[in-house]
Amino acid sequence: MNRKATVAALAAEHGRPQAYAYLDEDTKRNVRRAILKALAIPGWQVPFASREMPVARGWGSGGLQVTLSLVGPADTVKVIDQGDDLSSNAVGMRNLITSSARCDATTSTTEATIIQSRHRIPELDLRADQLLVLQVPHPEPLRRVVPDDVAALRHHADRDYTPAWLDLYDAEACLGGPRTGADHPVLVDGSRLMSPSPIPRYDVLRLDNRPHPILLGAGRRARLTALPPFTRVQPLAFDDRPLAPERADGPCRRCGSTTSYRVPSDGRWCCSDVDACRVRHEAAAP
Amino acid sequence: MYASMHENDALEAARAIAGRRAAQPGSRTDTSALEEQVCAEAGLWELAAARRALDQSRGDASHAVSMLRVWAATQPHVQALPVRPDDVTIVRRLSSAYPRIPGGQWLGMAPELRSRQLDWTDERPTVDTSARTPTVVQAADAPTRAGTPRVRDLIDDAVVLAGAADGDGDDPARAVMTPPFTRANRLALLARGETGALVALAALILGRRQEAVMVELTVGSAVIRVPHPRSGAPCAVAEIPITEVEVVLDADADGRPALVTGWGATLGTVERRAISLALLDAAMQADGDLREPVTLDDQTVIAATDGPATNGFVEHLRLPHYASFAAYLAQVGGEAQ
Repeated sequence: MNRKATVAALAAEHGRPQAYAYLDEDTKRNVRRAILKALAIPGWQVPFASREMPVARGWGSGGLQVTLSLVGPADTVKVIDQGDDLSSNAVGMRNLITSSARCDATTSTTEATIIQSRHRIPELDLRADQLLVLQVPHPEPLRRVVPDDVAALRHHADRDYTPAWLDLYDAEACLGGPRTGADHPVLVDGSRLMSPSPIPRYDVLRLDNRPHPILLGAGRRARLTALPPFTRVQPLAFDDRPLAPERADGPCRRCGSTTSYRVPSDGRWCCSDVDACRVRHEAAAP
Repeated sequence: MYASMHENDALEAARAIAGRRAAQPGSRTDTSALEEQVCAEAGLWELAAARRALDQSRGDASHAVSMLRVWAATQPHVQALPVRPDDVTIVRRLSSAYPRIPGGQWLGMAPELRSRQLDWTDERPTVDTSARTPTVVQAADAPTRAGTPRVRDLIDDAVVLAGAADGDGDDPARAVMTPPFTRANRLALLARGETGALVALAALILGRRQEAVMVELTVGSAVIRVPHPRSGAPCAVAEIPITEVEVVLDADADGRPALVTGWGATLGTVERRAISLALLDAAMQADGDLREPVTLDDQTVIAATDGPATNGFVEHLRLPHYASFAAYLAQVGGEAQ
């Protein structure tokens, strides 16, 4: 007899009502296939069958699906929200990942094997054996200038980013600099325009030639984008007008750093990346 | 035919259906959020009436709203006095713009922490509608609106277009409002808007904006006072939960990037209503948008009608936006200098 072993039957044998790492194996396979395709065409938006997740759409459901389809029992997962491990949404997702995949959780950037992040790139440099998963609200970098998705796809197919360049020129002429705050579009391998998710310009400038892969999941829009290791990533900018990072008017109130990305806090400034701030603070005062 | 009521499968099934109906009274289902939504859409805070209307309309929320408005139209109307800031007790306060705010962030009862996974265990206790815990539970030391600074005042290095104050406005239940609407009247009319419609429009706007940050969300309990019929002295007659949200959107001030604030408030604690109202208000104040025609092509229509997607998208403003807001402020402030 060759009895058909379904995932549900296997799960029932193990006495668990839920599949390993929450998602059923078909979904995981679908997501992994999309990831492979996305890695093969760096910066290209690959559609995938995004599922309803136990977090609201727009709350990291895309990043969560990527993480859950890659995580294994030997992994150590870190989830940050705007650089903070203790944000309630990040805590909820970390609990879901670690309980359903029975893996370890950490807040340390160096100990983690998978880091899921919303709107920040960790400031401590990641190694080649680490994986960065970003949550993306708007995967389409042309959405403001080409509202029609079909027209935008044609622009991508032709590598014709004239509307984005014109918009940048318009902002340069009218305002003296790009209009975008976070989410400044980047050119991948000098040819494909990509939204890096709403990371600050400080982080946009740190995307080039990273030794680790970056996977970007947009659950609401059902798109996956990937940057394989050592990909050339440059912000969309004119040669004589490079993109400038944000400035902060004071050092971090905690670690005293003047080079980190800082946000206003009670009239002073503090690092947005909590773990990097902790490491700097401990290095300064052991 | 009728005499042969033998025991058969059909009879068994009929009994099972009848039994299931009997075992499923409305009191076993917790409809408190739905009741709040019906009250907010009806513009009338009376949870018991909303529950009754929901029951009589077999759970049809739009019909229940209509029933409440029909009922309220026949009731005597007393003009309430404006709510005083020191009469509003804050039980939940969030800011997505800054990690630390004067007065502090109070998580309170956070609806986003409720599980989204369906629980199939059946040992839920019967919900006792008579002794239901109030949606807003006050701590003894809860701060008041008057004693809590506004988070919008922290935004100092950017041009902020503030809406002009234009009086108290009229009561949409009583007055005939004709366009052009003042901002107060517009907010009053929109505050009774249908939740789904508000969220869909807000999601449409949010998708077209470059920057949208929820500066402050407060859930509080407001004391309503009416003038005493004889002496005219203000008397407290009710305490109702209200949710107030302030957002900022990107805007243009004479060709320069700036921010525009929007404000929204709703009866009850359905926060997505207040967030949507604030987004709509801000978008109407930022010159240019909403006046720019929205193309209702299939992509837009499909995106605006997917409930979980639009709800999640509008509610995601509650998540921290510290890093991206700082990036936008640096951009706007840098240009201003």
